[in-house]
Amino acid sequence: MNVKEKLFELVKLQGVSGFEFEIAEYLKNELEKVCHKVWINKHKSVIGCIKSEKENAKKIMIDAHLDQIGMMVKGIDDKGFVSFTNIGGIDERILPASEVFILGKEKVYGVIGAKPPHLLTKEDAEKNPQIKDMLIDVGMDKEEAEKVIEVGDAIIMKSEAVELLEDKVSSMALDNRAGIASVLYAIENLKSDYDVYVVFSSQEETGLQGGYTAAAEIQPDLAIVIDVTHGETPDVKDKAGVFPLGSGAVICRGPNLDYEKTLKLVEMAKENNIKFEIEVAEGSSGTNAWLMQTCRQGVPCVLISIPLRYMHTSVETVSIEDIEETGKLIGVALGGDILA
Amino acid sequence: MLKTLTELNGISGNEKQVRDYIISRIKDYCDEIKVDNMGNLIAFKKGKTDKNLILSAHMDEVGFSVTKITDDGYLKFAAVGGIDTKILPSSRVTNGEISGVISFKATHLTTKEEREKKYSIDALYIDIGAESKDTARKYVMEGDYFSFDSEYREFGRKIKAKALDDRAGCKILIEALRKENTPNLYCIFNVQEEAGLRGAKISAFGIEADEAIVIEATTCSDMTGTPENLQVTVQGDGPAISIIDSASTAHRELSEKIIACAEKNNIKWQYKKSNRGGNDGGSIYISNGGIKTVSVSVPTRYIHSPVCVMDRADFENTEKLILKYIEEK
Repeated sequence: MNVKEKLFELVKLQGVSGFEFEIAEYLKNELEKVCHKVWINKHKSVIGCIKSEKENAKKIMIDAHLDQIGMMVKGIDDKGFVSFTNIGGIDERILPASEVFILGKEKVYGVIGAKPPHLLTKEDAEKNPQIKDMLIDVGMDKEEAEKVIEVGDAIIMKSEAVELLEDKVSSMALDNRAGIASVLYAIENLKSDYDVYVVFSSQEETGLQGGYTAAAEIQPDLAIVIDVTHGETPDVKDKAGVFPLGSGAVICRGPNLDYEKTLKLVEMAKENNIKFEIEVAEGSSGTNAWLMQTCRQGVPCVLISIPLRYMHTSVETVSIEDIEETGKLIGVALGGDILA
Repeated sequence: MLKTLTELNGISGNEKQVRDYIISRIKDYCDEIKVDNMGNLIAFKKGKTDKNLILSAHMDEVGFSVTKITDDGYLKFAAVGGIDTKILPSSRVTNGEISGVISFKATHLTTKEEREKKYSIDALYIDIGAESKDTARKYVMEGDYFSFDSEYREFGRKIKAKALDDRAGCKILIEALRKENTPNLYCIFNVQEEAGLRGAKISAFGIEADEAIVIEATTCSDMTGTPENLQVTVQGDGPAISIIDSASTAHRELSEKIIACAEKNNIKWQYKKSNRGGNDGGSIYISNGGIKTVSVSVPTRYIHSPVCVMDRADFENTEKLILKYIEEK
């Protein structure tokens, strides 16, 4: 599998939390190529099972969320401007002068406007505008807009993926399509002694619910959660929890993750010459692992993350190498004896 | 043509792409084409009357200039022309060869104070993906320009593009040159308007003109929530005719002639209701001991951003008004 090509495909597909139809359908087709059984559950998580040849094999769930942050229509005013609010933690600072698509009866293009600087008080001119002070300009009057847009329609950023130098890609939704690419890479030719349940979970960005309900459905012996972590930028250096792109797979340690299994994962990375770094979460890891750990009778979790710059913006940036290294580590964990 | 014009890059100081394209579109319609010492393009077309009319538009656009390459391959930059830094975080930029994004700290890693305060340009970088100064240097040198990466698009009743200020004016000048039965036309396509109305200081020099019309894009802040008395222009109300701004005072008789032409031809028009802003008119109206000058502008929302928005009807009406005016002159 060519990771970069796959990634460009994945980020094109729409999947705002609660509106994951397009990405879910695509991933269902992808999983059908390698899984024995595939289904989309009540919460629009896509689940595929790769059965082991072993009888009564233990169950490992590999989870990567498929949803992305976005926005939602709140209203259309008398001049045809659209007011909106966030779905998930979108970075408000990127919104002024951004381009969006409203997913209404048709895909409606719009531009986000805020008050021009010369109309602001001196104090407000120094502040970033808030989402409540911005409007989407769809170039229509009220009547025209109401024909194609309704309150509650999802909104996505318009952002085509671009390649940057030294094998990097910049796009919206790399959180967590980068994680999904690493999973698809890992399971392409997988042989495992475990029954592997691949879960592309919905609604992570709105509160980790999709991963939680999928874990309840599967009741695995181990969950491997794949997500993104912060990449280093020039204004954040020598700070814990921030990793230069090219660090490889980032393995998380802390009370949210299973102590022994995490150490086993570190050992496997070393044995197989996979690039990795260690991240520490002294409390919540901020990922699906947080809720999953206390699902039903409890699910032991490990967490692997891919470094990503500019999280929750339309220009999230990752290194292809890190996705490949993460994919290799997943493959080694599923193909080895992590539950021994 | 407006699509091509706006997608070309021509930041003040390097307008060559735009100039070459315009020359290719006008060369068969002009009697003389001259590029002066600063790079202004002056096209002359002999007319049917002995009146001399200047039409002026500027070729340059706002953008960024690389000021330093850091050891880890990021680019420090300065704004060329007036750009509000609020729109910068996460903007896409390009030097025509490679892509970049404007780098800033992820929201999760900021303090509340940092999040609320708008960025100073010194705190931002362009991220081109390079991991070292050496790699970056293969593609970029200090002083190189980066433009907004933004394609032309029509949506609803509007047009969105970067650089509509003032490729819209350039397009109208090109159409004027292609017209028959005009007075003697001097179409001046200026450089460096955004750097302080610099090009027009010399392009109009020596032209014995009876009148000059500056065709521009001007501020429009007609969004919901803006009090009417603060709305400089309103989209859909037609070309905006300036009275006075911080660079020039419109010649009253000339404005009245243009307004009369609009009324006669049932073309909607409006005044630009502000005394702020300024354009090449400020340089032209004091040239050669003074030239009767007026600005006619297309109202533009989110001007100086990657997503300038014009109303299609306003643009068409501006073009129609200018062409009617020269036809009837």
